[in-house]
Amino acid sequence: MANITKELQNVEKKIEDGVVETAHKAKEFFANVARHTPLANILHNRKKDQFKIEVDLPGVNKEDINISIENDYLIVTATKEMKKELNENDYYLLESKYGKYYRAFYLSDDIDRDSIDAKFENGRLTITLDKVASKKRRDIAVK
Amino acid sequence: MRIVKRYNPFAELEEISREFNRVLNSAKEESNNLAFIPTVNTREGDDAYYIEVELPGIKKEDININVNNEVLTVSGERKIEEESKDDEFYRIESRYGKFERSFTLPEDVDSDKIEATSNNGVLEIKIPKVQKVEKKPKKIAIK
Repeated sequence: MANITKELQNVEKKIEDGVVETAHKAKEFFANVARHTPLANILHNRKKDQFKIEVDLPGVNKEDINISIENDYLIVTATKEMKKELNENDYYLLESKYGKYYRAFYLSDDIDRDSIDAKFENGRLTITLDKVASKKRRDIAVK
Repeated sequence: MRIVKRYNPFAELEEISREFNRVLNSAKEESNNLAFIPTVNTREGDDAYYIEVELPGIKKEDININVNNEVLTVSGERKIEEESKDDEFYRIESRYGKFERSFTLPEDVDSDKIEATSNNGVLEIKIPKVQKVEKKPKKIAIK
C-alpha cells in the first residue's frame, strides 16, 4: 500500500516537473516574439494637406526609436528599457510594458516619401507626412 | 541588461481589469468625468519611494501633483494641441481629457520634500523617507 502511494507521488511529481518545464519553455518562446503595440493617432490637416501620425512611446529614449519605410509601409519600432539599476522585482506595482514596440502604417500613393519628418516630445512621436506636390489641394482661379 | 521582457500572460487580463475599474469608477464619479487612468509603476528605494506615471503627449503645465491628508494625487488633462485644432482625427487611440490617480503615502515619508521630474513623457515622483535620527541609549540614574 505504501508503495502505491509513493509511486503515485512520484508520478505526480513528474507531471508537475513536466508542466513547469513546458511553461518555462513557452515563456522563453513568447519572450522572443512578444512585442507591444503602442497607441497611435492619425490626423489630417486639410488646409496644409498634411497627415500627422502620433505614436505614444512614454519612457522610451529618442535613440531607441526607429522609423523606416518598407514597401508601402511606414514602420515604427522602439525599445523601452527599464532603468539599468532596476529590475522588475524592485517594483511594487508595474503596469508599464517594457521590451519591443512595433507599429506599421500603410502609406497611400499620394504621400511624398521624401518629405517625411519626425519629432519626439513628451514621450510622443509625431510624424508629419506631406502629399506629393501634384496631388496637393489647389485652388483654381476663375478667369 | 534585458531588452525583451518576459511574456506575462496575465498582462492583458490586468489591463482588462483596469479598464473595467475605469468604467466602474467613471460611473461612480460621474461628477469629475475622468477620461483615463494613467499607467503607473511604484517602487521603494533605500531613501525614498518612487512613483512613475506615464503621461505621453501631456505638457508639464497640464499636470498637477498635490498631497492632502497623506494622499498624493496626480491629476491633469490631455489637451488637443493648439496646432492640431483644425485637424481631423482619422484614428484616435490616445484618450483626451481629464485624468487622475491617487496614492496613499506610507507613514515614514517627508511630504515636504517630494520632488517630481518629467522625462520622455514619464513623470517620476520621489517621496523621501524621513531620516531617522539615531537616539543614543540613555541611562537614567535612580535617585
